[in-house]
Parts: sequence; structure tokens; C-alpha cells
Amino acid sequence: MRTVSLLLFCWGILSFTACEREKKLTFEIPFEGEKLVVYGYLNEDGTSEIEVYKSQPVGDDFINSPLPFSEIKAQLLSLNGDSVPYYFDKNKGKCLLTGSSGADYTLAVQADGLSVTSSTVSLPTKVKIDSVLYTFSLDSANISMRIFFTPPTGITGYYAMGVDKIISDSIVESMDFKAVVVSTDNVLSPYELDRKIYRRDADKFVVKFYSLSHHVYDFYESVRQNSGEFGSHISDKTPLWTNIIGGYGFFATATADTVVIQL
Amino acid sequence: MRKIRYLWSVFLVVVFVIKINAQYQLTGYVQDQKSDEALIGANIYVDATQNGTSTNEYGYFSLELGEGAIEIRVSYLGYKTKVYNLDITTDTVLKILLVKENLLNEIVVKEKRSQKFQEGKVSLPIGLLSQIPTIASESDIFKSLSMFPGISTGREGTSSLFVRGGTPDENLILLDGIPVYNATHLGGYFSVINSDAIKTIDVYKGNFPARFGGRLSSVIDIQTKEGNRNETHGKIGLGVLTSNMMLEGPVSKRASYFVSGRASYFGLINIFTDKEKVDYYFDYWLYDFNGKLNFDLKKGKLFFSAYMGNDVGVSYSNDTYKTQSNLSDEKIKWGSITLSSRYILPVTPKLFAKFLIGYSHYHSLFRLKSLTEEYFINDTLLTLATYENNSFVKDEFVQSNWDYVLNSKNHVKFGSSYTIHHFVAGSIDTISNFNGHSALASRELSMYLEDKYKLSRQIKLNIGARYSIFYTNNNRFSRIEPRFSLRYEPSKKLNFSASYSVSRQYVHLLSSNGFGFPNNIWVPPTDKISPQDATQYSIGSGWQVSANYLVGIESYYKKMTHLIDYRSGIDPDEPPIFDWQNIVTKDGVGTAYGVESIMEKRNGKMTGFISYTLSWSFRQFKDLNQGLVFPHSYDRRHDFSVLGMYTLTSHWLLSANWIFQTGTAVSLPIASIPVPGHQYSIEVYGGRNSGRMPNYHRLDVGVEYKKRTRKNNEFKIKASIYNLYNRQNASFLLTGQEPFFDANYNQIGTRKSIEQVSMFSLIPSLSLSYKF
Repeated sequence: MRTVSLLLFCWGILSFTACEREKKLTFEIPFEGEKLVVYGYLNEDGTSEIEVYKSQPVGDDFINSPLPFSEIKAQLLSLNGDSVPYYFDKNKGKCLLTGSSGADYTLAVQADGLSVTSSTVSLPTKVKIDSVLYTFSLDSANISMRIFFTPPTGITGYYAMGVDKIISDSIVESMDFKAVVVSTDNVLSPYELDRKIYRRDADKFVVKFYSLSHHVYDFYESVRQNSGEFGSHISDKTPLWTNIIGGYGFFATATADTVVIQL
Repeated sequence: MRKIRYLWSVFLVVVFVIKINAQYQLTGYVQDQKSDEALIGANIYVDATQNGTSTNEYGYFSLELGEGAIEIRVSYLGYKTKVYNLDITTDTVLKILLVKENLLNEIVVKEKRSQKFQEGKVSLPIGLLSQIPTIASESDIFKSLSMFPGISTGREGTSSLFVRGGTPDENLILLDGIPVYNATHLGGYFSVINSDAIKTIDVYKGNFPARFGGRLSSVIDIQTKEGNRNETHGKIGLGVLTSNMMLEGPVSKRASYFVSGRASYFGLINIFTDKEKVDYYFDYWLYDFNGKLNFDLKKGKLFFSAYMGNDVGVSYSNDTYKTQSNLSDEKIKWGSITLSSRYILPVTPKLFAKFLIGYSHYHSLFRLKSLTEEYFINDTLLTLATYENNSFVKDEFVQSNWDYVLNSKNHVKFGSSYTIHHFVAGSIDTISNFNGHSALASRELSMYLEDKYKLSRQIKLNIGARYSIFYTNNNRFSRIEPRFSLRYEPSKKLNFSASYSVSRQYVHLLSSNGFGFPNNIWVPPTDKISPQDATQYSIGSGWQVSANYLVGIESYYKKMTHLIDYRSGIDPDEPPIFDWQNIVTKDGVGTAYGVESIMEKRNGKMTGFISYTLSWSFRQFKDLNQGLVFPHSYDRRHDFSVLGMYTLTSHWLLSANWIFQTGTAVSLPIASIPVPGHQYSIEVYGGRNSGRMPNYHRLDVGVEYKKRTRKNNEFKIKASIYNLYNRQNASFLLTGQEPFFDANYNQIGTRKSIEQVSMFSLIPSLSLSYKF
């Protein structure tokens, strides 16, 4: 009986010790080394903009306002040998573009001993808004708008919209803004922007209609694919898309047409 | 129709091309003398002619002999060999009862095993199951199998099997011939089959005989016990996580039964908990049951068998934070049911028939109900949400299988099977106002023909083909799967082999992580998603070094096509079950190759083996990893196991095993970059599965004490320590991030970290059993 009691006692103790015990250890990931991260938009509206950063080890602190480079240079190179320099304010640069639609460009950046070049990007013809229809109701507090455009033939287009408010008088406190971009030939699926403008004062809206090259889409799609919720298991990811050789980011074209709505 | 005619032509060629030299037929059953349990794989051998055969899964054999006096030798592992001197003048039927080796020698003899190396096949000795040290001293067939070359488990603690670069859904698990869709309990920690119920386990890693089909990577053929026909016996076992029982005995002179069951008692912790008074409550149960009834009829035998296994988890929480409270009630449940009825009979001395009617059902449920209360100054907002995913796959089938001993050189097997698969999925999401249900029935017809042909004393062939047709949703798929294997034995101690096999898998598994949780959903092929195919080549050699030592080496190359995987960016933990075709990427190609080796010491006081596998497994999808080839998640470059068991005395047994595996392939970030429009940095991944978790290794030890009582009952105590040197092996990795602030408490950035989660440190355990 004594032996049986002892065995049952041991069994009871072990029942608890056999339960799952989770332990967490810091997992060190080797860093591949610093690389330049470049985001460049090429347009023919007078300026071509780029932002330049550096990659960092995964465990390092990420500061929202990155530190400026000690030295940074960038040039826009056209295939006929012309080059246009960028002028930097901290990590953001602008250059005057004298090129025209249909011309091919590459971007070269040097900063703190690191250098990258982009793949060649062709500047397309600007996609313009054909016409705009909109309704506005202060009673129901909504703006509904349809933007029509003609997509260029032979080019896969990526389109985006942005809304800026301009305050001159306070007449709107809460507003539903809905815009639909429709290709004039109905070839493309309508794209909708549905936004609640909440407790903001504005009486003028500037709606920007962007036509983007595939580089922007490819980059942000791969960012989306890699952006699992934080705290989730590290699961199957994909390499980040880039056309910056030796670095990360993209060099793309982005032309914009604008509609202003005066309430 | 043309394909059926083709198969029939092959059959006729096999039958008629071979010279028929009809003589007399010796047939019968080989059984255990004490229990009348059929002995599977017993050898019946004629020394004079060097001719022999072995019993099938029902203990039946059929051997062609010439007229006159002859001596036959009947042997089975762990049993005394019996010699019969017969005068064959007509067809003869024998009932052969073998006696176990005497008790004094049992300890040494019980591990005695065949000295022949079987390429592409592992026959797990049942005695090993209870002796290998495991977590909580729970005998586990899958963990035991994973120590053999070419077979590995997934992450730390899980039981899902990966065979030769395949995935767990590519393993056909047959329980008495019935496919079991779910193989694991407790999220993958235990296999669903209670080891007390098992009589034999054979795993085919390659050169699948044509009678098996429907999966790409392996066949795990489990036969359960029939029950003692002479005496009632039983066993009661008490472990730290589960308890089990087994009972077997005669129903009448011509019938027997076998039942076994197992249940966990995690739920007992909450038995006195009042759910209404606590903020958090968690309850979990797992249980399984095996039952079998066997009848000897005037001609033939009839079997009824049933299996049921379930996992049920319930959690409840009540959180209140500031002006909001949240009540959530969660339930997960998954499990399988199989039912079968089999009738076997020797139709003629040369023809043995097996008929089977079966039913297999796998279901999974995830249900979350939440009630959120938000308190405002004058009002309270109540939000009731229900999220439910419910799916099951159900098979109903009939089979007929025939064994025909054409002559002393040809043993032909043929048969057919008709299956109706039901795929049902339902989903409710009250937040997005979704309530959907889909049900699809598919039909599968298959037939096979194989011939075990003894070309000469040294050369044996197994040639066969399988043909299957699958109808689903107005789509029709079909394929011929040729199978071929050759074995050359230049001497009794040395053999070489080569094999080629094509296999097809119609059903796909949408699985999130290999943990075996209920978001595993089985789906049929469609007009967009093709069935998966595999072609495998292998060569191997076995050498009996001495009476106790055996060495085997094999290499294989496997190509898989039409594989599916989740698209990048899909959260696989919540698969939308209705538009699943849109969340997977198709037409993937898999390549797996490697070398497997094993050195076994099968007899003596010290037994065990050392196994080593060097392997590669890759995948390629057009839409994944920029179309580049990447390592499969369970690509294991090195997999090394050592198992040793030492019989100290007739009472004491010591055991130990050490396992080393290359770390699991994972996609690890190699840098972090800022992205315009994103508040946080994002990680840059070098390539899919381009990183590795740390290498996995651990040592387990065990000691077993057993004693027989005066009534010859057996009392056994088993103690084991899992992970003796407390290695922190990675189960998975987690990312985390936290904000950091300046002196004025303004957030100026974020800090990310990656943590390795280890779930099983040193775990001692004890189990007790009493066999009567």
C-alpha cells in the first residue's frame, strides 16, 4: 500500500510537470549589411522626387524621422547621356525634369559610401481626366463623384486617388466622400474611393487622380504580402520586389491630374 | 474504356504467357496458439525446393507443391518454428498454430526480427512502441516511425509525418484498410491511433504496390488486433496525460471481440470550476475508441471494426477594459470516425477474396461567439458576433480485393474500389453578414492489378498498375499509375533493389501550419486545380553483416507536379473556405531526393539502430518567391537518430534515443526598411524559406520495470525523461514590436524583436499499466 501511495504521489507530481511549458528566447537574425533604400517618382510636371534611406538590422530601433546622411548625391540619367542632378533637403531630393514622355531614364544614388542604380524606366504620356460628374448634399452630408478617363492603349495602367481639403470657410463638420473612377471605354473595372471626412472643416476638396507605373504596384503588393500581423508566426514570406539594383525601393513614374470641388 | 481494355490485356498476358504447371495446393491460416490471433507475414518455406510464401493480413497462405512427401517449415518472429512432414497427394488445408518462445527466453527473443532489409518499407515492431521514451510516456506510432530514415516529424512535439520530402496530407493512413483523414490529437502532439489496438504497422515510403493509391508520399498500413478467441484479457494504463484500457476475449466459440479506449483528463482540472464566477476558463478533452468483432463463418470470416477519435476544446473569457467589456466563448472540435465490415474467404485453394464496405468521416469545427459591451454616458452599445467554420469530408466505399496464386512463381493481386467522397463546408460570420454552405459529392473508381513474380531464386519482380477515375462537379480526371520493383539477392545476406512508381492524389488539403488544428480543410480537384502527381525512382541495398547486424542504404528521387500552396500574403489561419481556389497558387513542382541509411542490431540484450538521412526537398511555383525554386518547409538536410534498448534482467529494460535534425526552413528577414505611408518599418525577406531555425536535437531516456504475478498477469511501470539535457528547441518564431518614446513621451519610433518559442523542456513522466 505504501508503494502504491508513493507511486500515485509521484504520478500526481509528474502530471503537473508534464504540462506544456512555453519559453521564449531572443532569436538573433544575421544582418545582410547596410543598403540604400530609394523611393523615386518620375513625372513631367516639373519635378521628379526621391526619398533616400538606409536599411538596418531587424532588431534595431526604427526612428520615424530618419537621421540625415552625411553626404548624398543623386542623378537622373537619360539614355542619350544627359544627366540631371537632385538637390537634397535631408533625405528628400527634387530635380527639374526636362525630359519628355516616351524617354527612358535611370536613377543613380550615392550616400555615405553606398551606391545604387535603378532599372530603366520609361516616362509615359500623362493620363488626363476626360470629365467629372459630382453631386453634393449638405443635408445628407455626402459628396458623390464620378471621374472619367481614357486609359492609354497597350499599357497596363495602375491608378490611384488622393483627396486634399482646403479650408477657407467652416461649413462641413462631417462628410462622406465617395468617388468612382471610370474608364471612358468601360474596359477597366471602376475604382472606388470611399472616405469618411470626420469632424473636419473644409469647403474645398482637391481630388488628385494618379496614373502610376507598375513598379509602384509591384513594390506595395510585395510589401502587403510580407506584412503579416505583428505577433503572428513568421510564416511563408516572399522576397521584396525592387527595381533598385543593389538596394531596395522603387523608381517609378507617377503623373497626376487634378479636380477641384468647391462646395 | 480503352484504358480498361488495356488493363485487362495486361492481366491476360500475365495469366497466359506464364507456363502453368498445375500441381497441388497447400492452403491455410497461421495463428497464435494461445489467442488464435492471425499472424501476418508468417513464413511457410519448403527447404527442398527453396520455395515459400508468407501469410497475408488475415494470416492466410496458399502454396503450390508437387506430389509426394515434403517437409515444410513455418516460422514467425518471436514464435517457435514448426516443421510439418506432409505427403501431398491432393489439395491440403492446414490450420497452423504457433507457440510463442518460452517465457525465460522471451526477453531476448521478443525483438527477434527478420534479417532481410526491405527497401522503401518500414515494418515497425510493435514491441518498440512501448519502449521508446516519449513525451509523458505516451506510446506514439508516428514519433516512433520518425526515427526511421526518410520519415520525420514537423516542429518540436508534433506528430505529423513528412515522408521523403512530402507533406502530411500526402500520407495515406489506413486503419484496417479504411483511410483516416486526421492523424493527430492535441494539435499534433499525439497520433490518433491507440497503440494498444495495433497488431502491425507497415509504412511504404516508395515502390508502393499497385493495390495502394490516392496519396503521393507514403502508405501507413495499420492492422488492428482481432481479439483473443480463447480467453478474456485486458489492460489498464495510467499515464500523466491520458489513461487507457483494453479488453479482448471470445464471444462464442466462433467469435471474438477487441475494444480499446483512451481519454485525457486535462478537463478534470476544471471539474470544480464555476464558469459563471471566473474571468477565464479553458477545458480540453481528447478521446479515442477502437472496437472490433470477428466471426468465423462456415466459409470465410466476417469482421466489423469501428474507430472514433475526437478533440474538443472550449474556452471562455470575460475582459473588461475602461468603457468596454468583452465576453467570448470559443469552441474547437475535430475528429474522425471510421466504420467497416469485411468478409474474407478462400474461394478456391488458389483464390482468396476480400470484400470491404467502409465509411470514413473527418470533421472540424471552430466557433467563436463574442459579446462586446461599450458604455457611453447615456447609452450602452451591444455587439454580438458569431464566427463559425465547419467542415467535413466523408467517404463511403466498397472494395473487392483478390489474391490469386497462379503458380509457384506468380502471385497475382487484383481488385477494384468505388468511393463516394462528400466535401462539405459551412461558414458563418455575423460581422460581415456572411452565412454560406457548400456541399460537393465526388466519385472515385479505381482498379489495380499486380503480380509478384519470382523470375529466379535470386530475382523477384513486382509489376503492377493502377487505374483511377475521379468525377467531381462535371469534371473528370483519370490516370494510369504504373508500379514496378525489382529485387536481386545474389546471396542470402545481400540484396539489391530498384523501383519506379507513379502515384496520383485527387484530394488536396488546405492546411495552415501543419499543427493539425481544425482549419485543415480537404477539397477536391476542380476545373482550375488539377490532381497532384508524383513519380519516384529508388535504388537500395541491404547487407546482413552478421547474425545480429543489418545495414541498409537507399537513395530516391521524387518529382511532384500540380502541387498547391497558399498565395503569399494570405493569412492561412483563417482560410476563406468558399473561394479557396483564389487563395491558392497552383501547378507547383516539387523535387525531393536523398540518401537514407540504417544500421540495426535486431537481436540480443542490446538492440536498436542508428539511422541517417541526407535529403533535399524543393518547391517551385510561378506565383511564389518570384518564380524561383525554394526549399520546402520540411527540407531537412541531415536527420540522424540513435535508438538503444538494453534488457538488464527479465524485469528491467533501459532505453534511450538521441535525435538530431537540421533546423526547419523558414523565411527570415535579412533587413528592415522604412516605407512611405507606413508608420512602422517593414522587413525584407531574402527568399522564401531561405533561413533556418536552430538545429534540433534532444536526448530521451526511459526505464521500464515489469513483473508478472502468480496468475501470470503483468504489472508495468515506465518512467521516462523527455529532453534530458533541456535543449530549448524552437517550435516556432514570433515577431513582436513595441514603441519607444522621447523624454516628453512622444513616440519617436518602434523596436522589433523576434523570439524563438520553445514548448518542451525537460519533461519527466511516469506511466503504470496492468495487463490481465
